[in-house]
Amino acid sequence: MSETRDALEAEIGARAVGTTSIDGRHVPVAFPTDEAQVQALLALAASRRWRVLPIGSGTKLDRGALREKPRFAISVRGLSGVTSFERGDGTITARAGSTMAALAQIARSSGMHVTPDVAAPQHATLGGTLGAGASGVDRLRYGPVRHHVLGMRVALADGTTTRTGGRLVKNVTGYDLHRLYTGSRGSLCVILEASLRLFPAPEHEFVLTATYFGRDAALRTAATVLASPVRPTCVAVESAGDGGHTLVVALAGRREPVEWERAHVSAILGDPLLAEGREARERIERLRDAELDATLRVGAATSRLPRVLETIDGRTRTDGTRARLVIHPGLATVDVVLATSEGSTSADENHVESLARDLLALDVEVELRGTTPLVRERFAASRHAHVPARALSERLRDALDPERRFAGDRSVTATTTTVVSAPPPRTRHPDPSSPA
Amino acid sequence: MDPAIVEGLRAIVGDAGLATGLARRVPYECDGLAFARQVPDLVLLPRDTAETAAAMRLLHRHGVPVVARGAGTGLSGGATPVAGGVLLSTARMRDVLEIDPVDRFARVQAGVVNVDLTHACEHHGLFYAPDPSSQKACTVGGNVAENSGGPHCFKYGTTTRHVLGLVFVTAEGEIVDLSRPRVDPIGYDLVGLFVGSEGTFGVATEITVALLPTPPVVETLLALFKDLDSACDSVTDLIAARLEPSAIEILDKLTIEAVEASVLAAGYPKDAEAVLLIECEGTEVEVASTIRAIEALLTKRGAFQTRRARDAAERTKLWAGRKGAYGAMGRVAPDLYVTDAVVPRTRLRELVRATTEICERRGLKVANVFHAGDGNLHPNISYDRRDANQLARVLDAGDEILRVCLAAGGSLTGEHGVGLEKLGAMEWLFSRDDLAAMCRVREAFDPDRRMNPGKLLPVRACMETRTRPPREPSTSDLRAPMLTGVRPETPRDEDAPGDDLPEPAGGEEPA
Repeated sequence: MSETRDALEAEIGARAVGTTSIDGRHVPVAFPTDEAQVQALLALAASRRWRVLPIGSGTKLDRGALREKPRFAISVRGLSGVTSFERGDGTITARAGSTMAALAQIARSSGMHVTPDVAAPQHATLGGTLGAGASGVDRLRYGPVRHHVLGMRVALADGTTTRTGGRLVKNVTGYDLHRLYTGSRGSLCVILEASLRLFPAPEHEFVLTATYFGRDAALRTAATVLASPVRPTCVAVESAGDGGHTLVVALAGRREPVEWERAHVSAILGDPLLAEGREARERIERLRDAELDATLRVGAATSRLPRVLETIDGRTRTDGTRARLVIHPGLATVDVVLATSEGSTSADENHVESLARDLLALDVEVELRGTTPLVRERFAASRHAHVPARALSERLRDALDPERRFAGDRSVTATTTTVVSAPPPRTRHPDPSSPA
Repeated sequence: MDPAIVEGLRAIVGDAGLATGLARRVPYECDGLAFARQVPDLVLLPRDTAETAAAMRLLHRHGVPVVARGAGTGLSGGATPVAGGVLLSTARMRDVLEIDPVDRFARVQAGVVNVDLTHACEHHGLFYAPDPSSQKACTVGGNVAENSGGPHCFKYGTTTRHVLGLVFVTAEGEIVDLSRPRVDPIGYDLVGLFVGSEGTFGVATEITVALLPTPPVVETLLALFKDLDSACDSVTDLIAARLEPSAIEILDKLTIEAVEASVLAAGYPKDAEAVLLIECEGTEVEVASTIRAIEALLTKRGAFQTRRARDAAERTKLWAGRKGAYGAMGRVAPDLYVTDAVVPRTRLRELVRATTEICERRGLKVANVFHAGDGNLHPNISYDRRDANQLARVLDAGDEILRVCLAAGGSLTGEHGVGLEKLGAMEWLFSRDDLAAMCRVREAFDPDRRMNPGKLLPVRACMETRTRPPREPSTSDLRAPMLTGVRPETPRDEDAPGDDLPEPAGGEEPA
């Protein structure tokens, strides 16, 4: 570690090098502040044959499993700032280390909205969010993040900086390599800059909540809302304890239509609690940040959601565990917080793994969050069989990173097995130490 | 074509799956970019993924180039077989395989016509959003290859936002099955990468697309302007005002006159220099409030009249006129060069003016009908391709239009693709390193670059990434072969009827 750190400090200075914890290991992390430094770091890695892991602020490092151990990480957090904000054209271009909160604030000050509205936006960087392919709580209304990335500039493993797409809301020139990079989880490039499409900021927001004694009743009501003409930002059913389930419907838009939607949804829900303005925003943010507690996330087609829920119920009954769920029926995703007993906040890793395997057998998408690197690693190996077109994915990786310089996430492609021997305690929000 | 290859293919697709005689191959010599022509050596019409894969394996063994084609409505020469070889048509892959109204998706064969897909699902209260002007003819597979748009992609986005899954066959005949719709891709987003790859990654044979609920209320608004500038400024203002209709289109006077003189006469007023065609969809309250706000803004911006379509029949007529505008331009001249560029929406007025001036300076007649809400310009230059001088001026004007748009922060294509037409211009927009990265990705799919050779990526941009020479003809300066090497329309000796194998009976006609 000392040798690595010394080499990094020689490249970009001691003040720009720190340490972070990745899969329970202390790993030096470099915080370059310009693209030349990124290139210098990649050249260093190439000359020493070291593996590198590109990261943002590290808020999503507890998802998936690294395919190879990185010698050091490159955090893009120091590459921040908005390059271009074209309000009239509805686009924003920013360097990868800009936080999602900063982008949202800039956009909102001009009446625009940035999607995705991700958890922990004050830490989550643009580069990290796109690298993880993370969509936000506003996905039901705006769609997944990959639909709104207009272009990117990236550094490839050999230090070459390349561009794909552009800054225009419509553009089909060349291959959409930014679609490949979005969700590539550090396995193909260092994202340097990206352009996003913006949307009109809502003039008004409402959140309507109603609690039901059975999950099915809450889901039936949610289905009625989803089948109606309203366009909610979010519809979620949360476990509320004592068998109760809370249906949350978030509405946003121009005042007149959203007032009509509020009345329409109120009629469906019966007598819901209503939050608006700042209170509504805080409720949405609570719902958004709830995903940070999730042990695993499941994604399935709507028609398979009942089977997913039955499987979760069955496994928790068998194992004697408790599952707190946040179900997004419009997206057919479920965030599961698994606990061993009443009042506990964590579950035995074996229980997590058992549930994940049961769900994987349904051929749905399962992503472990938190747990231990060992469990994530084992699970990634199982999940590997479900990754389509693996050979093609490997060829793509070879094409862009022939020497496998980037450590990346093995759940993206994966062929090698790296077993981490010492599972550390779960870290919910690994945050790289600040530069000295 | 080697008779052994032809017989091998015949064994796979049957007599009906081959077109060998010149008369049956000529219709495939070009797409909507009519001045670039090359008759394919053979036309192959497989019925499904299995036949496609078997044929592709055979063609791989013999190193034969393959160009996939939907209905041939593309406008960038993407389906023109410039390197000869086999043209693989999806015209016999026309089955809607599955419609799932609960999970809201459809799985179709690549040759299903765009509008037929919406017809197939409308009784479920669902529709397929991408609506290119050619939607009555173009195929979903072709839309995937080009990442096609259409007027309503202002609200709904281009094809890539609606494709949930794919089955495609690689150049080597490998079947890649990504057909299962996923909330998020497991692994790399190969589907997102494939869409818009212009047939250079493989042949899409089955496509899974998202279906959307039919909006409860639709309102169509026509706004008339005394000048094109005001119409353009109105669109810029609409975007800045953050109003969200589902489509914003501009038609200029020449287009209006052509449409009104055709069978598609839609009732566009001939005294307007430009019209804005705007559509709003949603709940009754949403549509009413949006339309009111739009009308107020347009009136302030100089619209001398705004009127709403009285009923569905009038709405249909207005859109038929808009979508049929390219065909109607046939009244102006025998050929039409449909330019396609995108620009920042804040600069519509100056760039529409610039394109008009560029054409006028060359003595060319230009009409504008375009997706203004997306900043997607379509200056349509009328010409006669038999006049070599005029064709040269058209191409020159096209080049300058692109350069002006790029200089303003625009891009080469909003929906037609790069194809053959803009191959050389890729180097105006992208650096050598940018193009080299694209080449590397292309070669991960197709190491020999036999899939649609000579398209999308300039050969010299790929030279750095390969050691062996490309199999395609030199396209180092695309304009030169386009102007001087446009293939003759009369049969060459080797194409002469009688040299082919016996004509099979009962073959499919081209799409």
